[in-house]
Amino acid sequence: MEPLPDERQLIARAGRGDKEAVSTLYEGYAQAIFRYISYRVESDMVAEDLTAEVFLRMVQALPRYQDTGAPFGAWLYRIAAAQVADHHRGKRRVAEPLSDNQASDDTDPFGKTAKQQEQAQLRQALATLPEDYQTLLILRFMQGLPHVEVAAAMGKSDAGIRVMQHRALKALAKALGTDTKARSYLRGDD
Amino acid sequence: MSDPEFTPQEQELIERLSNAPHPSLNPAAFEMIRGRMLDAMDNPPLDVNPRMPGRSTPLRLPYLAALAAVLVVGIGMGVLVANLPREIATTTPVVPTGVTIAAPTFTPIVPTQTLQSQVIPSATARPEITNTIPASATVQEVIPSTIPPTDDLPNATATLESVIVVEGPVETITDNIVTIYGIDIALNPDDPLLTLIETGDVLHIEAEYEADLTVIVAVTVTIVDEDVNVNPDTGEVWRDEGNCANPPPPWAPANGWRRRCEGAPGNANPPGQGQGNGQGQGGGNRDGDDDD
Repeated sequence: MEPLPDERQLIARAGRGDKEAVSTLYEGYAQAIFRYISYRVESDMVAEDLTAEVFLRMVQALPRYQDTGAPFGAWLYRIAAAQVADHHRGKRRVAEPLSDNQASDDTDPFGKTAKQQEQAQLRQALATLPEDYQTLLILRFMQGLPHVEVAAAMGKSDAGIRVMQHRALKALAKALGTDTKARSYLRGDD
Repeated sequence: MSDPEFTPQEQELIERLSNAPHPSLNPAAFEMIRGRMLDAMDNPPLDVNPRMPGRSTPLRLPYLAALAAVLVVGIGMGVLVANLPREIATTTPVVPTGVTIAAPTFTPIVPTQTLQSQVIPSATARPEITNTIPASATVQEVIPSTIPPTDDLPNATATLESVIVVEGPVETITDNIVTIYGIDIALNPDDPLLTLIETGDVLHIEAEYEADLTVIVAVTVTIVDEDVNVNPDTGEVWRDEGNCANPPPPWAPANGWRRRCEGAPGNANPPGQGQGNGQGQGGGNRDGDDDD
């Protein structure tokens, strides 16, 4: 994820309570955070609620934010991961949903169904994996973040992420029932 | 995402993930969250999930400060007590009632005659009690309280070995050197796996770093993603190529191949119609999956 233009200044202003800066940061990161959360929880409604919590916490924590050189997005992903973990631990009251949301730009009902099925299948498969694997797969391959940023978001080393991604992919293939050998055999690739 | 660090199978999965539906916040929800966030800025304190709802935020600071002060004082007193000379700590409670004092101090030591004879001459602080009880003040003379010289301690750092574990796809193979993530690792030139490893294979290598030689020397090498069997007696290697055209020798377990290809006589089943799923694990030198 590319940092926003003048991001450091924005963060500093937001930390001083500048609403416009907070709003700009929100606009820049809201969809990415929502996408990450939506693949880690059971429904888009819960994802909306948790996304709201992430940005409320961002507003709370911004006055104390210290620029360590790590991308701001990585910091937000860590907040999001913590929120998701809280949600799964059941310590958190599930607030009333904000809306009955689905992607609004999809007008093809058949395409929409296929997409929903694919999303549901991936959600289900991801949910069976360890939390680290889920975060890595979503950030690295769905969001397309570089190793370094994923490492910063997960608090791990770049090399650790490189090794873990192979294991995570293998685990996901198993969870999806798409073991590569079985698939190539069934396709008749011999 | 086409990247040489991934196998074709991994790339297939990565492509699926990158093409996965991208759910997005609808405009109403987007604006609602923005509104909540900006409202929260107008209404401090912004504690959206207070852990102790009954306590107001301003009280927390003095409470924490008091707690910190108590901790500091406690730690300071602990340090002071710990640094007091042992003589003082042990002689202070000695009261000439004898039995009660002697019991705790001598518990770990069998009160033999020998012990008594060692104690008596050294008890100078309270000579009046040494005749009746083996006073606790003398115990310190028996139990060495000094730290042994550092020369007697094993030098732990000198014996540590540098063990490196590298797992990833092979980028290049030059003679007996394989490169993974830009790291050159030397394999035993006689290792039969060398004839088998191909670029792109995912290896799990445990190695040692030899500072003198400035190379990393592999100790154990495992091919993670392929079904490979090595005859431990002869070093002969057989590799499952994922089809039925390359039958394994009798010594190779080749479970996956046999399940896949020996289900029907004479390999009559065309690919895709056999009963096996091709996921059998080879035995022998494989260590199985590492799906931690």
